[in-house]
Amino acid sequence: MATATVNVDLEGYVEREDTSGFPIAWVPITRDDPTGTYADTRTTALITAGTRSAYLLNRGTYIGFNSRSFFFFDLSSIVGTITAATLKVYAGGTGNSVDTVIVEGTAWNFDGSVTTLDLPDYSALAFTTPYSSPKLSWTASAYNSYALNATAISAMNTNGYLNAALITDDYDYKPQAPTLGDDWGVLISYANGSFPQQLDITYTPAGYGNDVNGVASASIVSINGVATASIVTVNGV
Amino acid sequence: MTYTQQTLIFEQDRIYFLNPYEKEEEVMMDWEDDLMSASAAYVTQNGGDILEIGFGMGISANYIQSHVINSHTIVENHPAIIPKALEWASDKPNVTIVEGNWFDVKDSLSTYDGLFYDTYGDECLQYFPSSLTQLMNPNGVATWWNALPTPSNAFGIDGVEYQEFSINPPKNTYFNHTKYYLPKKQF
Repeated sequence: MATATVNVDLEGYVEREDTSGFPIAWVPITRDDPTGTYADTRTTALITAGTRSAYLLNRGTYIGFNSRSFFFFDLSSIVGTITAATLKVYAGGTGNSVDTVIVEGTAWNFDGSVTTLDLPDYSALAFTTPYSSPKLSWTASAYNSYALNATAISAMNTNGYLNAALITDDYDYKPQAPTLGDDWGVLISYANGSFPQQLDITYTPAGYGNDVNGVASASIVSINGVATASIVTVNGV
Repeated sequence: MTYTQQTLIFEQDRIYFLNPYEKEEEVMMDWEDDLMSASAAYVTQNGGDILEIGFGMGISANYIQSHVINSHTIVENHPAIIPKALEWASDKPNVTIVEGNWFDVKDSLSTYDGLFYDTYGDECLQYFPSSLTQLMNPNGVATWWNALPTPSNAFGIDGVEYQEFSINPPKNTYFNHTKYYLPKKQF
């Protein structure tokens, strides 16, 4: 087994804000609309509540608000089979902490060939494909970790990348409408040069895949100082 | 957290609070001065008894006082603004400050010749159109803050005319358009 840490390649968030003089049906109007009202690809540092769900009143209007964070990790540096992974998101503050969850993302043209987020990317995610369990807490000025599930790991092995969205669990994933006055979200530190979003990966290096002298191949890191990834045959086998 | 629970910050040119993410949320700003002046002029055009729901920065209240009227009733619900409204009214004998949410106190109010409705975080916003008739005298006139950047109103109130204003507000959290359509409703 080997481990590696991969930094995020692309990140940002897309918001949707609906205003109306009268109460808003939050789920069908705000959550389920395919298009956002503001998209922000982060290449410079920003701390903001990029994952947030709210139903508010302000000056003469109701506001339905929902924001989703999108992250892309290129895994081409990982040569082997991923067996476990943890997505770590750095918090710029607590915000108004809420349960959050990772789901499959489809922004960035799936494979990272598009490097900016646009308004339609608001719906560039698959609610039917959760990549983690809900995370029930959010710690300020620290990495907040999501253990990715078998579905995510399978996708990473197949695709060679991780495309993920971080959303609120109760209001966006499930979803249930927030109560008027609710404003739930987490403060995320985007494009933080010191603390980038990270993916901790455990993987089995590709390369020599046979048992040697009774030792299972999965337990062999190197033979005579040569990494298994560089070994094609041992003694002609 | 409801609006009345927010800690308001008062500056010369605005009132705002900080949301849970430490971002500033403006409640009212002084760029609205022309709109407040026009709103006050409309609701006082027939003189008489005037009802103002929402004191805010007191801009419209000052304009209403500049016209010839009989009485000026102001309903205000934010605990940090109420003392400011009371102080402002202390030397104005025709002003009555009513403390509380307008919907909760509406049955204790009278009927009026002019009404200006401009609230923030108003949990009874949806009840404004159905309550309006109850508060108006025949031939009375009413206007309200119009959050829509079009000559229409989200309340569905019929028979409304609109006066168009070209505006250039600084970026804020409640109105970022270049046109404001002041609603004018005559009963």
